[in-house]
Amino acid sequence: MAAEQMKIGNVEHGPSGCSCAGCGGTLCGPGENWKEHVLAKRGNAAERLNQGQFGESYRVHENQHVELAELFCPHCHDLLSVELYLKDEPYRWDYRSLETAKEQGYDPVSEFHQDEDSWISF
Amino acid sequence: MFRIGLDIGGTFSDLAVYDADADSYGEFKSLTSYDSVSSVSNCLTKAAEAHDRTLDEFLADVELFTFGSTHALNTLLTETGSRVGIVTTKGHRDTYHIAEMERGGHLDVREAVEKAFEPLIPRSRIVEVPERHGPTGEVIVALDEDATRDALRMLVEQQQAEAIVVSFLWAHRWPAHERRVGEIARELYPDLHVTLGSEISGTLGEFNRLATGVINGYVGKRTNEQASALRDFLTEHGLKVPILVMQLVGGVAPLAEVVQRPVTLLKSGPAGGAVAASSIAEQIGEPNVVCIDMGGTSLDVSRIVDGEIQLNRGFAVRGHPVSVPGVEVESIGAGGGSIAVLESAGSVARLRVGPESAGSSPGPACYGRGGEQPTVTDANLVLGILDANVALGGEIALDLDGAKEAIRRSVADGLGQSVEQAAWGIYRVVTAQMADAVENSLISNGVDPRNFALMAFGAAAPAHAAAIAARLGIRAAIIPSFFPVFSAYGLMTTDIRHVYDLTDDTVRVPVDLALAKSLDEEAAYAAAKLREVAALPLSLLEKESIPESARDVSLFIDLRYSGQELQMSIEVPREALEADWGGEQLREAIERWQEKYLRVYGEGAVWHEGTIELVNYRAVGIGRLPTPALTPESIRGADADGTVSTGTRRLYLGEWVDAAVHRASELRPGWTTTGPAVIEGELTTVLVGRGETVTAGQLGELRIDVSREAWHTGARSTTAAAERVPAGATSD
Amino acid sequence: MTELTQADPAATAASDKAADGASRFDAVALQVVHSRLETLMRLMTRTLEQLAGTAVGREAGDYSTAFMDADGRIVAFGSAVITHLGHEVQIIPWIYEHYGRDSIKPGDVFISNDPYTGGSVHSSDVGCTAPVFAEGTLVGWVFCDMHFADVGGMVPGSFSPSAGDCFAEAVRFPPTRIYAGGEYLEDVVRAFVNNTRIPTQIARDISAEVGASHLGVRAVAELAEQYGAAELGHIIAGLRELSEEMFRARLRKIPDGVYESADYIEDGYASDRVYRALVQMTVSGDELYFDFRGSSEAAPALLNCARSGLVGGVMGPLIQQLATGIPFNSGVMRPLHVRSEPGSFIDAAFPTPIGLATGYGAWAVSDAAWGAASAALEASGDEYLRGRSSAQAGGGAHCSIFSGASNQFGEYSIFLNMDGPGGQGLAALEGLDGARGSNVSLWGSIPSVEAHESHEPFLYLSRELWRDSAGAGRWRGGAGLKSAVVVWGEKTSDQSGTFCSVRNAVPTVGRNGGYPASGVYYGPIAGTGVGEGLEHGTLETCSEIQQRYGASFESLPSKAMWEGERYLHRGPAAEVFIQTTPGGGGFGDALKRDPQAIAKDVEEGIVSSAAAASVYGVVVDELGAIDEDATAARRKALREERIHPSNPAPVPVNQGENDGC
Repeated sequence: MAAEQMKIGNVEHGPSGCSCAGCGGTLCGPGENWKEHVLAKRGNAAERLNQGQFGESYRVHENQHVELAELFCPHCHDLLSVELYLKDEPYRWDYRSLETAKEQGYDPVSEFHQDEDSWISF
Repeated sequence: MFRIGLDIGGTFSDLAVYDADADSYGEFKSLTSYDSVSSVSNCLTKAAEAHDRTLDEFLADVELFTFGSTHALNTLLTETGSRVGIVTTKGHRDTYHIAEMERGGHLDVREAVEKAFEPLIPRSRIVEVPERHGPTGEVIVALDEDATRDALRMLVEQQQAEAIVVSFLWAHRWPAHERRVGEIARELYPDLHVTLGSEISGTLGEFNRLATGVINGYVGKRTNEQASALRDFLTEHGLKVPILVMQLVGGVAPLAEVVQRPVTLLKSGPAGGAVAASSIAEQIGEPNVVCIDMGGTSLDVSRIVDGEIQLNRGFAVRGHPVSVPGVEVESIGAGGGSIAVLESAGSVARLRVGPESAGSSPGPACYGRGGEQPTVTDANLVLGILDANVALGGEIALDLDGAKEAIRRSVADGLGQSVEQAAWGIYRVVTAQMADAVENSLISNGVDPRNFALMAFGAAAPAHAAAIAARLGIRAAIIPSFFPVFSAYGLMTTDIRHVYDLTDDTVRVPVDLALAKSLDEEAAYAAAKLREVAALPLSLLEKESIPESARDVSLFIDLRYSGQELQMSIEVPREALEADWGGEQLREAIERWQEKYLRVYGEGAVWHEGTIELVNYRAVGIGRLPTPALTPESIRGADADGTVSTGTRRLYLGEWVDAAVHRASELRPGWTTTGPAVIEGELTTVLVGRGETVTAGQLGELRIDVSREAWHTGARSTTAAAERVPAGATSD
Repeated sequence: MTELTQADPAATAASDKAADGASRFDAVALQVVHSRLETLMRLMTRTLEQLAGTAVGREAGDYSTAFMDADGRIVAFGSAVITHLGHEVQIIPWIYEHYGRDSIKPGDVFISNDPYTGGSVHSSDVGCTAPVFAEGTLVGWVFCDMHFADVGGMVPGSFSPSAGDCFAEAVRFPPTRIYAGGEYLEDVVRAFVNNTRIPTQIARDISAEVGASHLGVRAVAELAEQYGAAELGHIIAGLRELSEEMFRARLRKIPDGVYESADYIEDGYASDRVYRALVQMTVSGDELYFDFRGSSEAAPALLNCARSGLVGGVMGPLIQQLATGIPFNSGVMRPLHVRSEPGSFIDAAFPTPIGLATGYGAWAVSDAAWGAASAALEASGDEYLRGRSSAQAGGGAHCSIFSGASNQFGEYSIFLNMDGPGGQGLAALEGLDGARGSNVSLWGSIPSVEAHESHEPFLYLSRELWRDSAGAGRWRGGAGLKSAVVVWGEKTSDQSGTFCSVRNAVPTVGRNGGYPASGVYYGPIAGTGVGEGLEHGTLETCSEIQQRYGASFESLPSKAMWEGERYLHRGPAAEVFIQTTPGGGGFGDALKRDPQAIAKDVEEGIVSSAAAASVYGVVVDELGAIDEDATAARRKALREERIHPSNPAPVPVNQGENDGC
């Protein structure tokens, strides 16, 4: 289906970019990853989660590679998403249109049609 | 003198009365009211009037009074039970809420959450006390009686608990701590409803016993209130005999005993049906019968094997386990109100029936109460199986056009078929689904459907019985004549039954019995356990003043290959209670068990090394009550005028046929005819397929000699596909 | 066979409709056969459960059944573990390729447990498959499998964190006949069980599968006889086409595009490395692509999965989220295409170790794909589909395997505690708090404490809902469990252990602003005096012990093996062994959770009043009474803290047009 406007999580995706579903504030323009344009707290997961806020018996084993990212709307401060990443790993795209992905060099549909044998089909 | 069977259902209360002096049988019905004593009073007054007596005169002449009720079940389903508090073992307060973390098998992630077990008791009403038995009976922590008193006071006085459930780890084997808590509770609060888990259920598994205890406590108080009201009413009006209540195990017990274990009343309705079926099966000489009871929303399947109603060790109601022995009843969502849905995508479709149901409100489209989706009842009306000119049960006028329109819109148009063809599709699908349920029940218990007769009761089943039987290779479909108040009749024909289980897995023997020189020691241990478990029902029967000649006990041992969950029973003779039952007799019983296992699961499903465990000992105590020997004369309706045939009707059974129409109430033993035919009762219609012979028996029951050809069970002849498949798509 | 091929929708796609507009398939026959096969799956499953000789498969719900057509495509599926579809789709083609289709005879039965020959996802799942013939024609295959408690290898229970290849992990049988043409090959069964530590129990497990297979073969043969082999094949083709068309129609409701997600699991034995399963899920019209390129390369440990695990993992969200309500068969898989980098940890190359592929590699695949599927379902805007988006469920296998020279009965024993995979909390969804269970083991549950104690040499001091374990959110995850045991039994020896876990350093994640659940932890606590206390008639629960020793408790790493002199001891000096299972992730912003729901959580012991204040901003006492003013103030403060300067500097907002504010 081709969609003009859609809501994924707390973010509206549309032709003119992404906005906060809570307050409507713009987060980013078209073809951009909204996560790179909001308020972000990102750091070692165990350090963030083991501060006692989540309860006495809540604990995450320490590991230098694992980070927690908390992403807030810069306008209304709603918590948009909480995600895990490896250190230095770029933010993932919740959604890219086929066109945007293609512009960025990713075109699985064409790849599939050119080389079906590299894919598992049923 | 009169014998009474009273079945208090959710909608109707049914009363069956047998007048032993006049050898006449009658049925009375009344709407069940919230205050169930008034519906009982209604029914009984009608019966008394029919026998020209006042209520008091009538009750004074009653020699047997049995009743069954769905009251306990309704209390659970409507969540109107008592505030229960739980006392449990320290460290295991969350057993009830953990609920063994059962996910329930749902494929759909949302459904898995929506249909999850919902505790009836909040955690704040669960209190731990220090106490602990170990797995071999060792007392690791003694019961802390002070803590127990505090816990009870907290639950009753702060939490306003109306009923207490005590359930400790390992208490089914070592109940001393639970019993002591029971004593303390009675000292503190003499009127408090107290349930001890170990007295309700003997199964291993603390959650199952606790949850069963919770249900007992939850429905206990309301059930007691209902029972006392009934007892007071009946004694006030002159009833002299004890009131007997139908239990899950398919037998009755005195009310005074049963009120302690109300959980055993939960499904007494279906149990009553199974008992009635077994009574009829016995009288007509059918040892192996699979019973189907089809109502508006569901189909219940139960089994009688070698004359015995098959029991199981528990069931679940809305995810709440009830771990007590009972008549095995398996239910699927297929009834007269089941909705037909054409599910299609692209150029393919399947015609699905149920599990969604139109229930009784709005009901099938033909009820004209706003139901717009086509149901099984609508299909049967369109096919002509139901008579469009006769109001259902004398009350609901059937709207044939409404049924046709619903089927056309939802099914026929999508299939490009006529309304009748589509209705025939609905009939075949629901029939096949019911046949699957029957087969599931039989095969999973290791029996071959071809050795069984099918008995069909409930409003909707007789119209499908022959077709279901044909699919399964069953040769005879039997429709008892008492369908409208079948369960009430069952109540009247039952015996007193007490079932006790004793779990003990001490005895182990080698799979290869040749390796065991003597089994004398094992036999002695097993015999001791059998004596122990049989003592309970036998003493109860004595207490109930059942004459010794009418007392009986059946003994069973459950065995399994070590490690397995499956526990298959083998019956052992009553002589096992005598002194000379020894190793050779036990060896013979185990060999019989192994043969049964092989027959069910085949060679290769047995590994001939390792051990067999004796895991459970069971005694079924029976106090035989007189059973009325019914004859067609004793059950004939008052309006009998001898006219059997009322003409013919056009039926669509894959093609148009002219079927003879007969009145069930006029049939005499030996009457016989050949299908296609319909036989109409007050609430029920029996369909006899083309070329099938139907015969009326001594009890007024109908027996159809089932013919596979009549129903075209093979797809090659049934499916319209064969006619429509384009050449080359398949080779047929 | 030719009839079946001709009936295949792919072969006759052009002639979909008969001249009158009616379908080529009979809607009644489709449903009748569907219902019959579903019943068959239930019958086979019940037989497996009842006849199994070890408790592991049954009690953890770790078994599956399937019926495949003559080409090995799934027709019906009775699985408790969705992942098992990964080998169910591969095994028959493998048999044909290596033994030849013509070699298949009525009465053959194969066993298999080798992930690299398509027979399994990990070697502990031993499968049994048998062909069904009617009218002399092969009409399909019945299949069942089950987790066996031991399949040999270097450690009891066959999960070894240190095994360097699959040879060290387990005995592996490619599909191998144990019946040939109806003749029972006892020597082959003995060859298999001889390689396990508990041969009699394992032989009984195999017998259970044989019993279930026999039942399945009989039932399908009867069905084929009733309809005729060719007609049955035609009906099956119709069922496949219906499911495919239904699923394609659903895919068309999802916006075209690429949805990205990832999941991580830690090794914890060889190193602290964390492995990433990365997925780009692409929807284009009614085709669906899962592309796992970019996932980490293989680990030197049991957490990898072979291709069977990759395929099985993808099936998780496919069945539970994307294709719910559609009869599952190979038709649902037809729009699906999966790609990965061969040699990555989720598509490992022979002979990479794959001992816990189901619990780790394949589970990571499932959880990664789950996140992408959730986003796609939300994007659809369709209410039904949005309702299937969820956070991550508590996942992964958490296994403690204890073994000792003697258990309480005086016998050598292996005790594989699988409460981990069975006892997790489901994730929250929009409008619903999580409940019990995982998103892999559909029939998962945990045995009762009494069942544990009756055949294992342990005493349960306590088993509790684990407070604050669930992910916080507007809808919170289901809670996990926490239990504490000591070695128990007069004849019981000290117990050696092997431990495998994940979700310790990488917790279960939430969705849409929901927080992760707690990481799991487990391990022994020595010097508590609990053993001595028990000898004097007192018992402490896990929570009480933790209150006294909490600070000094060191969790074992994600994987551990006790070698040499390290044991769990019995008697006065007994250590307490603590084990937890993960809760589910939260959904939505915790500050938006209904205060009444939090009050109930506190009263029910799922959330502590401390966490209620610090995470949810709800000030509530232990009995559930809310202080409304304090709650309002607290929530306001928490909101402000989010952007407090003392926090790491937020990335500046892109200066776009601000039309919405």
